[in-house]
Amino acid sequence: MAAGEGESESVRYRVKPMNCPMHILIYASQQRSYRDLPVRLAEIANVYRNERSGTLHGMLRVRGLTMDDAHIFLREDQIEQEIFQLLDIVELVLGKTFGLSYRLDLATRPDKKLGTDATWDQAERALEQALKHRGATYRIDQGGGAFYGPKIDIKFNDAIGREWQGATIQLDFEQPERFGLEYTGEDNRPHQPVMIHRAIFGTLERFVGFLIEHFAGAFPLWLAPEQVRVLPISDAQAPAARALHERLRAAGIRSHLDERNETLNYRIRDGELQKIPYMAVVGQREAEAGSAAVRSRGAGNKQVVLATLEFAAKLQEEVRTRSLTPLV
Amino acid sequence: MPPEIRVTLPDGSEKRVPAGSTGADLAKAIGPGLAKAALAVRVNGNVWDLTRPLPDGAKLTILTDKDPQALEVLRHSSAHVLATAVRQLFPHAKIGFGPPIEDGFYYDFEVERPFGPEDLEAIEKQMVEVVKADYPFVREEVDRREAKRRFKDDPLKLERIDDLGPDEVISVYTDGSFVDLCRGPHVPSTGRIKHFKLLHAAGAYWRGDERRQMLQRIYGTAWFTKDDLEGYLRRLEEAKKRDHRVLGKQLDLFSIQENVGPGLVFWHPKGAMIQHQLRRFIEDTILRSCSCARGTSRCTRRTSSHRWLRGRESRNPCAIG
Repeated sequence: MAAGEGESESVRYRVKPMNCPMHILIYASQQRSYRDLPVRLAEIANVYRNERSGTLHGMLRVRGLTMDDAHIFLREDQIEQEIFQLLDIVELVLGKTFGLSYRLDLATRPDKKLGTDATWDQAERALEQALKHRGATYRIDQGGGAFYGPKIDIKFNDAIGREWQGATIQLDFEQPERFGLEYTGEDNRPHQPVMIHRAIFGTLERFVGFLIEHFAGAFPLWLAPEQVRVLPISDAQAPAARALHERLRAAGIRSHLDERNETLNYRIRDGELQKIPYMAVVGQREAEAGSAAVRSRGAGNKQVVLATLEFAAKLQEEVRTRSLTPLV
Repeated sequence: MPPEIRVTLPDGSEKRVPAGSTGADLAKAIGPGLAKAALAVRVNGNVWDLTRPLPDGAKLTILTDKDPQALEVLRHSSAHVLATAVRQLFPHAKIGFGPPIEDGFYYDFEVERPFGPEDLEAIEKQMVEVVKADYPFVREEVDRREAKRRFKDDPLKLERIDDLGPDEVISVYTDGSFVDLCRGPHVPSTGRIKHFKLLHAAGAYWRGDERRQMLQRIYGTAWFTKDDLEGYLRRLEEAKKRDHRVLGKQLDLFSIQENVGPGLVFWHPKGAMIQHQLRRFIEDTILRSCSCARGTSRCTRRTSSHRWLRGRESRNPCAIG
């Protein structure tokens, strides 16, 4: 029987639906002291969930999920600082990198809950303090938390104003207890850590699905699968076009060469349909000067003539800074 | 002197009104403008029809089109107008559920053949007639036997009645010739629904259960103003152009092979490049703060001694073997 078919020495296996228990096992694999905390375990992992077929939707709701998952094990007194740092990451990713406006909802204890009021008091206060110190605007979703801990839900709007459910920062009092997790405190006695589940993108399927819709397929340069398409006007410029293409590749740019025996207009139109960020046209003049006539996506028929090195440098800068707007 | 009840208004002031007064009476007592604009009333946090007698000591807010909760009521009533129109055109259609949803409403029907675009057009026209007729929405509370009598020809409704607990209040709403088993609330009359559009129809299993029969679900949207409706339809158009399934194909980013398995994404080279760049971004910037990136097993023994597979809702794992 082939591997993966589930029979191995008659033991049956199943694919995992989540990572938390795996990370818990790593935490529990050794003695932890209060000085070791927080222990942060992150993994970009494939998990599988048997979502009902009626709920599946393209990449937005799938059964095979690639999660950017992390679990953080920490002391109660570390919650605020940790959440503060996680909010920094949220701002870096959603705000700074993707230019999204987002909303934070703090979901507090429901009626039926696990853990003492004192634990919840401290956790909720820590979450709210972190939100305040971060200067974030947030709303309180009274009673909206899970029974095992409060959470911060992140929602953001796309380019046409639709709201998307983003990542979650979830505190968990349950699993550390269920798995009997411990650390040795300053008092030399065993204590139970708190656990934070966090995902920033959630799943890469859903996030890429979102990005496709948000950018309408016109990805910023750093994400665009094909960054530049080099177009010789005619066969006479093929060697110069190839040289430009090779130089861009050497500079780490995802360049493609379109030497098809089609008219320039046809090839430009095709590049536009493929939403390629830049098209570099090489005519007689450019071939002689070692330059390219660059058409930036969305700029119509406007062309900017740039020397090869200058063009490559601008592209590199645009990628490095993950710019949302073209630098050429 | 007739008995009075006391109610509290949103500004904290108290008002005395005759016992038996309804939300509509209260709105009228506050002013003719409000009486005209009133759509429903929030009673101690719950939204009620304007026609129900108010309880003593209640905290009340009259809802107008400025209140987001009123929009939900409008959409729920729109679903009833849709069902009213469908029943007029397709008298044998059996009715399922018809709730408000985000940005609109739907209603499920059991019919002999799926609705086509020309059906939707005809139904929408008929809805305009229902709106013109300005039927009041009339609420009645009935006992179980009476409810079953009223819905004797609607098996889906009968099933729903059987599911109701012994202590649950059973209410029905009537507009014109259409009667529905419904909790409400509704706007005062069908004439209040002015800016709506039917969007599309799709198959939907009764109660979302794929072992039950397939119903035909008609989706629609409703708004308080023409501008809101048009703005929403524009956004829908824009969203269609951006649909990731369409662009995913056009740009050769990914596919889903239904014969391999629904919900499993095949990343084509270009889509995989985007995923790769996102992973690099995570690894370069986000994971810097983590002790390590881990790689843990993708599958586990079914009879694992760890009870982690239990206790989390909707996470039923996929079994191998």
